[in-house]
Amino acid sequence: MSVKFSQFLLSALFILAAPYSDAGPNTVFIDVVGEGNFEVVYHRALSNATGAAIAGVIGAGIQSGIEKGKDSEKEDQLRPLINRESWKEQFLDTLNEKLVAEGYEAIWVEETRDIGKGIVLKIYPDKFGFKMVNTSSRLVSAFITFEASFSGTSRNEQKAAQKEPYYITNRNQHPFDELLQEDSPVNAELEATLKKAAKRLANKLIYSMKE
Amino acid sequence: MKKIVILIVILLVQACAFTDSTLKVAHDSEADITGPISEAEGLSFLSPQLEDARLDKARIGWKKNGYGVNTADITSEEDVDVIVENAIIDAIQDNGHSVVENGQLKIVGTVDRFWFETDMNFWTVEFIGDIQSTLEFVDAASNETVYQSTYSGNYREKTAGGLEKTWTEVMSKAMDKLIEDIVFDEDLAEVLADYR
Repeated sequence: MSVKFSQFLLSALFILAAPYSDAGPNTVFIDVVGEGNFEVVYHRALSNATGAAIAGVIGAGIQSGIEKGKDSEKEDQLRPLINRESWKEQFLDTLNEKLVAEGYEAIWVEETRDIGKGIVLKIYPDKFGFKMVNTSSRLVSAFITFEASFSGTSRNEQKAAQKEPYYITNRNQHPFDELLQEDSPVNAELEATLKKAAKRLANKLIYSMKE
Repeated sequence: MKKIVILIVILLVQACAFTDSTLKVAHDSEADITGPISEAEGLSFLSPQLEDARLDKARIGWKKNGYGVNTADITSEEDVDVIVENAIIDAIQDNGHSVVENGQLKIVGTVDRFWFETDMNFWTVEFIGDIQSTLEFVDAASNETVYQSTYSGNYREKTAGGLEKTWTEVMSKAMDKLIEDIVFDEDLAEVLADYR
């Protein structure tokens, strides 16, 4: 666990025990809701069932089920190599660094009730893993999907906060077998993607506040 | 009677899978996506010149029947390179730069993927728009590349079903996400700031 991540945890403990009265307009309360699930999209990317929805849901559903089964086998191959802590550690550290650099105070909370001032950033992790991005060369890239919403903390603003989906891929592309090698780039690729995603989210918030 | 009506509806719906669909895909010009590349305000660009580098240029997606057999094409009304070029022009202007005939920088590159696909589940369908492009930012005077990168835009919508209107929205939102990937590229922003 990194020092910065520990600081986040300490902040969280402190915030849970203390009122938010000293929070200012540049305070960002970060609430991570749920966990991200590891996923490999390989065989499903090779076959797309466009139009099957119209022509016969059950038939296409069976086809999709078979492909998902094949992808599950690939997930099982990679899962032992994955650092399960990366999601929160890499993502939140980078998010924190970026926001602080822009003059925001980032505080990780476990609930957003009773927050008086500041911005509430809610992150809903969805999936992270590897997806085939080039079907002709059969190369895969690390990806992450999540949803996020941010708003001021008045009840009206909170109600108006819209969840926005994010899908971020890393630029590097690898043959799937390369991910299984001894010096596997799996964690480095996932970490780079998580950092890219955190920077994207921070910038989205920062530039939205400028508008 | 009810069975006949259901049979007719099924036949009509099946027939749709054999008819080509043309989608009017475009970046939402009202979206006004601004990001770090706006920090280097006031640069001038030549109009982007992209090539369609997809292996399959004939379509942007397949319609398939219930057995997974390709039955018809999904195409776009405009060429995909033109769609991406227009979106980039919007993005440049929204971020405080200009697109002029004698610009300082030119943008060349390729559209590598422009694909609409569907992830089927038993009771829901996930429509996915996936666009990838490689861009090269070149000094117009010296013809030297100052920056190159690949960008991607992906948008997915899970629903009980949907037709051309939904597919068009999904692809257009994927375009917006591609633009977001460019506009929020911090490395590009840094290069543009230095270039200035």
